[in-house]
Amino acid sequence: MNTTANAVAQMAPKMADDIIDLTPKERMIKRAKGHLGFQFGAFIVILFALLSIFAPLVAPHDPYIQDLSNRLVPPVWNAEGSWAHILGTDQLGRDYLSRLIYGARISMGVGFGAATLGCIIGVSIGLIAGYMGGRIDQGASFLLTCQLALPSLLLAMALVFFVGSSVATLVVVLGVLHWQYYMVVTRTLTRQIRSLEYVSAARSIGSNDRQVLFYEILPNLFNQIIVVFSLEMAVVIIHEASLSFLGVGVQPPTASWGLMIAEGKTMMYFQPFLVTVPGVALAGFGCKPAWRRYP
Amino acid sequence: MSALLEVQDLSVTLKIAEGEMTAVRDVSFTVNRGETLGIVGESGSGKSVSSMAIMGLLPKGTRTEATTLRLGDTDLLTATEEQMADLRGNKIAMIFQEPMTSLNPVYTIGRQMTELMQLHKGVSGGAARKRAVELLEKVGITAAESRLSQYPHQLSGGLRQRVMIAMMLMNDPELIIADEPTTALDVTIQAQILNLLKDLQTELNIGLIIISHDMGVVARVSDKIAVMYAGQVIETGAVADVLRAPVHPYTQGLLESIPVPGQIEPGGELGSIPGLVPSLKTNFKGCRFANRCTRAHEACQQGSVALQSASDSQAYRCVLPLAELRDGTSSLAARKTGDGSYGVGIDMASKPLLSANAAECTFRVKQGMFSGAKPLRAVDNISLDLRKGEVVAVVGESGCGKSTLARMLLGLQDPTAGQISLDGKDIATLSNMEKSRKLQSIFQDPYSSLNPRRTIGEIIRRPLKLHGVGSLAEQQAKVEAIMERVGLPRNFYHNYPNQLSGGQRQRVAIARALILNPEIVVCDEPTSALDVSVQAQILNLLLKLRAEMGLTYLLITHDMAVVEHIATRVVVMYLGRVVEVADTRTLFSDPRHPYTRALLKSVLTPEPGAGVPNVDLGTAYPNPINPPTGCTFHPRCELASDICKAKSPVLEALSETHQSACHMLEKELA
Repeated sequence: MNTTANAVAQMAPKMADDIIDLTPKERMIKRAKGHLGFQFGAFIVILFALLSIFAPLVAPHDPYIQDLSNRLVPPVWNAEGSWAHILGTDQLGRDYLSRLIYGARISMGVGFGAATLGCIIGVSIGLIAGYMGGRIDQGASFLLTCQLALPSLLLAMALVFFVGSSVATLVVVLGVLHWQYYMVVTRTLTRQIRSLEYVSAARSIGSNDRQVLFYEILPNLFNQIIVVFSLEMAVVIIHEASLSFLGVGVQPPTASWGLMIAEGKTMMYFQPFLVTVPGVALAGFGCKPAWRRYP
Repeated sequence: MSALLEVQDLSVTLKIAEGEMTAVRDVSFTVNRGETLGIVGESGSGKSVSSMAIMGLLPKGTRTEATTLRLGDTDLLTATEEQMADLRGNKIAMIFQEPMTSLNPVYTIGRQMTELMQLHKGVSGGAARKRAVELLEKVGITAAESRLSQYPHQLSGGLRQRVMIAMMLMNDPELIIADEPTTALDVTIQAQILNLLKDLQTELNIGLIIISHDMGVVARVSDKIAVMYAGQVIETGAVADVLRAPVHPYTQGLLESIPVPGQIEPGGELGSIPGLVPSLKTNFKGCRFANRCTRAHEACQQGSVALQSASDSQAYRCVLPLAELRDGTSSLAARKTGDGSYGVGIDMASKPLLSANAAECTFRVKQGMFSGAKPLRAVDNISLDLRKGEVVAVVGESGCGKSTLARMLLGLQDPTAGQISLDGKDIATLSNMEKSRKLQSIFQDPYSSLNPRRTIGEIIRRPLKLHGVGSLAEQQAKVEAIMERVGLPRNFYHNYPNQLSGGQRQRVAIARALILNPEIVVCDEPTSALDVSVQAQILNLLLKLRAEMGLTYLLITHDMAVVEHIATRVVVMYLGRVVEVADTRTLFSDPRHPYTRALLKSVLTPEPGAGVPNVDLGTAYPNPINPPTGCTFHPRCELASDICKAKSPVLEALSETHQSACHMLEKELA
């Protein structure tokens, strides 16, 4: 027998070229490199992230300083526009581009925060429900159907209305209302992985439930969770804008895209750019996950 | 008469993510009417791709080249897609491996059978139905008329495969390609299906190609055989010539690595081919087998090797002269002689390490939406003791409860009655940590038993980390030591499981199980997912480790040949009950229970022309939810009498080491 084992061992370095394939990480990088849509999506995300992080450095003006003599300057492509205010000014004379950039901060912050909170809630419920099964699973599924039956925007409005509006409240309320998809995806995958042999193997080498969940199952869910995360982030950003538009979200004078549309809507027929500019920014965010769907 | 199917220098190049891959190169064979060609090879040898090329079923972007690829008068290379579709329905028929998925679950058997004929032959529905009934009867299905309105899920696996065969015969094909037709079936059903295929072929005088990884299957039904390796036919000829006097070192090694009951004494070891089945992505230079061949020399690395004829009916692909290949005793040969003992002295009087005491496991299964849950007795009153040094094999067909028993013994499933004790303590009271120090397991599927997100090093080190054994450096040293012991090169430490082959993964699983120095290892079908040459490596490794580390194994398997090779004691299970227990030699020389006899009879050793033994177990494996009354085996037993229907037999001691549960034991003796 020794001879065989040694022969295999000696053979292996030589054979190594045959079987050594790419690692999962390398494979993902390789695929990402060849995927135009992914690159485009990643570009948008990184651009917006950088813009909102470095907003004070990037923005040409202070977004809160009012200059009533320079009200409603149209954007630069308009005949009356000027390079001083590339995207023009609003009805209080605040620079629109700066407000847009600062607004991205709110949108990204609320989107990221609420999506993360939802992720934590949803993944926890999904993991436990999928792993334990039985009554716990039934209970979690009941919770899910209740949540799906509720109109989340209406509920968010009511909650924010009672608690009082602030960015932190928005993050918590939107996060608590956006865990369903994480839960559905996590639960299904956990149920599948639970029956695989490496989970049995983990138990038979002495792992307890917590170790099985966090060491064996959770790392195998990352890819799918990231996909859900990017979808949910867009949904949350739109919801934040909707709430702000309806007046229960971010309060003036803070810049938020939804609020900008709300403030601009009275002037919509005279200066349509007040609505279209933040509208286009929002739409860009909504499209982003569509590009990112294939990691 | 010219051959029915002629394939000359067939090469197939597939498109893959990394570029191109030549899956099949220069494959040639012919099939006449009434002749059976067996194509045998390990996974990735290109045997399925060749058959798909004949059927024209390869994905788009595939390049198929050949000097000749002809069926009857039709050139398959130049045929249009329309012509091929017509041909596939009428002249070539294919039987796939998985009867569970090759029939459409939403249509009735009748509709699926008649549709094809009505489409291709343009006959009326009535005529097609008549033909369907006729053929179902021909393939041995009772109450054929009523089967037509049944759905696939109402039939068992064996029946479905029969339906599949009948369906393929609807349009009188000239050639049938059967790709692993019995691999998904139980051994006792396998014999029936093979016999059926063989009978039909002689009766209808059609050509048959049987593709299999199982040398036993191919040897017994084929007239001609082609041994494939890494996309090439490396040896071909009449089945008796190739198997009795193999020329190519690979064929020789392959035959040595198949366990055959009665050939190797206890303590001996199987011959095994070192190394791995190469990936087809490799850029081959010279002989494709060279890096695993013990006789390789420089000439083997240069230039591709042509097929040379050894005799009128045999050809091989090797550079060495025929005489040398024929006589030289291969160093791959099995060491048949052993010391006769099983290596470790087993004290049957000692206290059992692991024991099941009247253990039962009942699941509650819901069959329909509105019916209540019914009890399914997966394991029924089983008592079993495992003593130090033993290798106890639990054998039986799928659904007999052997895996449930294994899970119970591992403490992964609580018994609903009775008790499992480890070293005298009830296993239910032990924590996972305590259990895992003594009891470890190796699972069946090396592809799902390793976490794809962890490196090999992490996987093997995990038990040490969980148990907090030593410092990081000590743990790493231990991992490296065990990796060497199981034959894994050190540079695999940072690789991921998907970079390893099946055999290597199984070695990782073994290393993980052994790193805590357990006393008992439960092996659940440890080699059933592996290639034959790799199976021999793993079996030899398990035996070596057992001797070195004083291990006790519980082996769960359906393969009697493997059992004979490594087990010391055998437990035969049927429908959740033990029907016979004996030490291995007694069981193989003097089986008492009719079921054990049937199992032993269904072992297909690679004996050319021996035919497939007729294992007549009548009906299919019963549904465990509604087990037959009395002795659960009686509907399939030829000895059954009235008492068998009424009363279930208990295990009776025939000798100190032999017990059997059968009412008819005396009758058999008489």
